Amino acid sequence: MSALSPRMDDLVLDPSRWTEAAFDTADEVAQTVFATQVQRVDALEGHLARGSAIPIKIPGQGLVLLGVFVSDPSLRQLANSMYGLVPEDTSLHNEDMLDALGETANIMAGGIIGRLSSWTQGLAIGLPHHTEPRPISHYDISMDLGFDTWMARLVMTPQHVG
Amino acid sequence: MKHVLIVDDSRAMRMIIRRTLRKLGYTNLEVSEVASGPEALMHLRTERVDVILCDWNMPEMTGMELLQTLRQEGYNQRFGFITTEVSDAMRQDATAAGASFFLSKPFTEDQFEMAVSSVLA
Repeated sequence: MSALSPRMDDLVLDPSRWTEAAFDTADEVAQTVFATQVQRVDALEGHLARGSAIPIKIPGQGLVLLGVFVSDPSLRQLANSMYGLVPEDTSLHNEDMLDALGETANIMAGGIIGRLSSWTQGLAIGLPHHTEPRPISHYDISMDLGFDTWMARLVMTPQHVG
Repeated sequence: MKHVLIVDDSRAMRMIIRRTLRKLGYTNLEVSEVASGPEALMHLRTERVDVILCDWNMPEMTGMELLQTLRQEGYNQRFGFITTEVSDAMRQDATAAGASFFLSKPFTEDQFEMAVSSVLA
């Protein structure tokens, strides 16, 4: 995790609160959606080829883009689990797998704002969109997670609006 | 037999809701699904629907806009929200607009059962 720039400090952001909320949400999602456990891992294996990003709007301040990035094998594991298929199943189309990733990001964003609501009011989420992975910048708050058979990187990027 | 309509722009989530209904023993249901509010309105004009399980945050038309449109047009089906975004204000608005329940994602089977049992009984 890197420090936010002075400009980004204008936002109501405390990286430790965001990471704590993100990890607790990932833990809940792992158990209730994927029937598995989550843990922080030092490094991810494979190229993170797939991503879904969702804006979390902070009233009057800007937004945080929450990105969930996975490798192709992890995307299939994630989607198969979500659709109730066995891990080795290969029947899902790309569109369905990306839909599962987008919904995962959506659920993650909802869980994070729910956990932050006692700290800052009025957070709202937008719609997920697919995004290309990019190098992590010094603005980002990032976390690598292992979900038993698949792995994901959460990246939260603060942005000013207007 | 009750007719249930699932409205969610995510196919994966529609699948999860279907699977949870099945796991909880709601096998005597006719379940249909659509991906948007406008599709739900079209479906309702031609098909029987008793209960609507709807996402809130969707493109084209939010779940709240769908509920308000349905009530304005005289539809009175039981309507429940299954959504990621939950705040006290949203709950109050949903209840005032006629929603029967508000369930947040992710949900456990127990939470789902507690939310839907009253409208599916």
